[in-house]
Amino acid sequence: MSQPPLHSTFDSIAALAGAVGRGDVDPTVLADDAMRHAQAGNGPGLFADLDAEAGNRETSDAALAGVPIGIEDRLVTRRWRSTGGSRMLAAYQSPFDATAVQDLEQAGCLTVGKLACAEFSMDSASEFALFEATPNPWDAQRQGGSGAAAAVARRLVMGAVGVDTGGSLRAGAALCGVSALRPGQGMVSRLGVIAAASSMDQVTPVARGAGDLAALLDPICHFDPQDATSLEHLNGEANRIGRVRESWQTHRMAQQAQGSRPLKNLRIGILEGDGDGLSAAVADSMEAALQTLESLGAQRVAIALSADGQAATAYHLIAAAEAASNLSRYDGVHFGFRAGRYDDVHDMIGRSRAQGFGQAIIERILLGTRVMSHGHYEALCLPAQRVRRLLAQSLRQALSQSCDLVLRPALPDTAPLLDAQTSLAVRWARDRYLAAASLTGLPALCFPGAPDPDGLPIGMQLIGPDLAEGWLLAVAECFQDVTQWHQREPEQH
Amino acid sequence: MVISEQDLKNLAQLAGLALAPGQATAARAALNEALSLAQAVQEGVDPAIVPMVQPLAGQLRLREDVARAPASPAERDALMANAPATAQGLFLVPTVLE
Repeated sequence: MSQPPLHSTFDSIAALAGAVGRGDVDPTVLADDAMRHAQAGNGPGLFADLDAEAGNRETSDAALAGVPIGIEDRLVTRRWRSTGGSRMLAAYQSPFDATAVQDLEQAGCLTVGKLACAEFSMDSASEFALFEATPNPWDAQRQGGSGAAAAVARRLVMGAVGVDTGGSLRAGAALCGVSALRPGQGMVSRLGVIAAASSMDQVTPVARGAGDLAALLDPICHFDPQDATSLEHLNGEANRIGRVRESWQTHRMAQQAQGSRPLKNLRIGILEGDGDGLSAAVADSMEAALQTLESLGAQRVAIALSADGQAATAYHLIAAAEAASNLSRYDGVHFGFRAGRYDDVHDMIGRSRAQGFGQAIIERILLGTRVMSHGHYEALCLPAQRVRRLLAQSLRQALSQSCDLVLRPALPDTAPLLDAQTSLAVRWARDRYLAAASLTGLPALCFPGAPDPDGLPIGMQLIGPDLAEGWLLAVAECFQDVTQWHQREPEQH
Repeated sequence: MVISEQDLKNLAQLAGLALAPGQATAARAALNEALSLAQAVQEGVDPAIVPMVQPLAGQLRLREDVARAPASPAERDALMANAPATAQGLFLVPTVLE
């Protein structure tokens, strides 16, 4: 299509929603246009399910009326099948919508379709997943990491919502040059999340910039009595719709009152040793981001964290243990894939699981089974959970005493080639910057920094204390006001 | 801590996975690599530290201990619509007892 999507001509969700609210744009025209462009622009690793007649086409006077978004396939929906990226659930039709999906539709969003993900967001190479790997919007030979992030980068939708367990959506945002905010654990309902690692699965919005993230996060950030892990209060503050928006706006007003140094007195913690193992381009981008924040009034302070070097290993052991438990529900009896040939009921279960799961998931299940088995639980699982405790304590202590927010890279390098063969050691090491927020349950916002010399995106990550979602949004937006990296747009392939 | 073929068979049985030979060979190699990396998690960590199972400990609530009404026929049909095989409102599996 020669014309860009109508919604992409607006700089932000607020600008688009404002135009709809004033009657400048007909939301029905917007919906038809978004559907046409999503169908025309769809490709491998993007929309898993897209049906022009099936999307939420109801128009309303709600705050986000007509804003086109995608739903990652880790969240269940009644309209479309819900697969988690696994052949095990290839035909699964949910009898209900995830709470976050309901919330965004009630807020007026046009849900365009389901977006591809790696199998249970774990098989990053997507070698055995239901969907093909997502090509990077900036270089189709490289990994995009996430259908949600790639669809936002390609302007097929204004935003997306999905599930970040060990950093899949933050990594996807970093690779594709967009933003993602993983909220604190317990702040967004997980009802309707296709579970992988329950203590770390977290509903996460993806969008171009921080302002758009605020628009998508606020309606979904509230207590849900139907989710046993949803918090009603945290540190005396009610978990309610409006909390994130009010906090974000309060911080923005405070910044504006500081004039040319809006981040005056903000202490940005930098971890000793974070620079080790970074590519030169990521190290340069990190330093440039710090200098930009300093030019806005922030100051950098060095911090150290206990057990941070073991965080990725601890994450992988805990995630495998939880996945082995969660995925035991797939038995070929109640729902999901059933093998075609078998001898008896035990053989049916074993073959259904071995044929329905991809090899990467099978290996996770076996590792998790080993981690949880007698004798190895004490040697592997408990030490991993002790690392988690040490890291959580030291990160919270640093955020209460030494600094206000922590800045880290999201990934140590730019997007790998789609066919890159990497060892497990390299894959685990790539998760070292993402694991801390997953293990500790603290909020983390990933946003684009300066790209590498070839234009490939590089992502930064701000981690904050409990309830800091609005603060993170305000600081990232202040950064984005002067850098505009989030408005870069890849050429359409 | 090397995983033998027998170790892998035991693990696969525990995990309910009937692996084909190629799957088992690849999984054994991957598992050995993972367990080699996993040793690092024990280094320098005081065993007196209380393990942290999840970040919301102490803040989670318990559901009220009340019985729920059984699913209506319509709810049951919706819940069973994804089952691979059903008969008369029941999940169908191969014969367990002759």
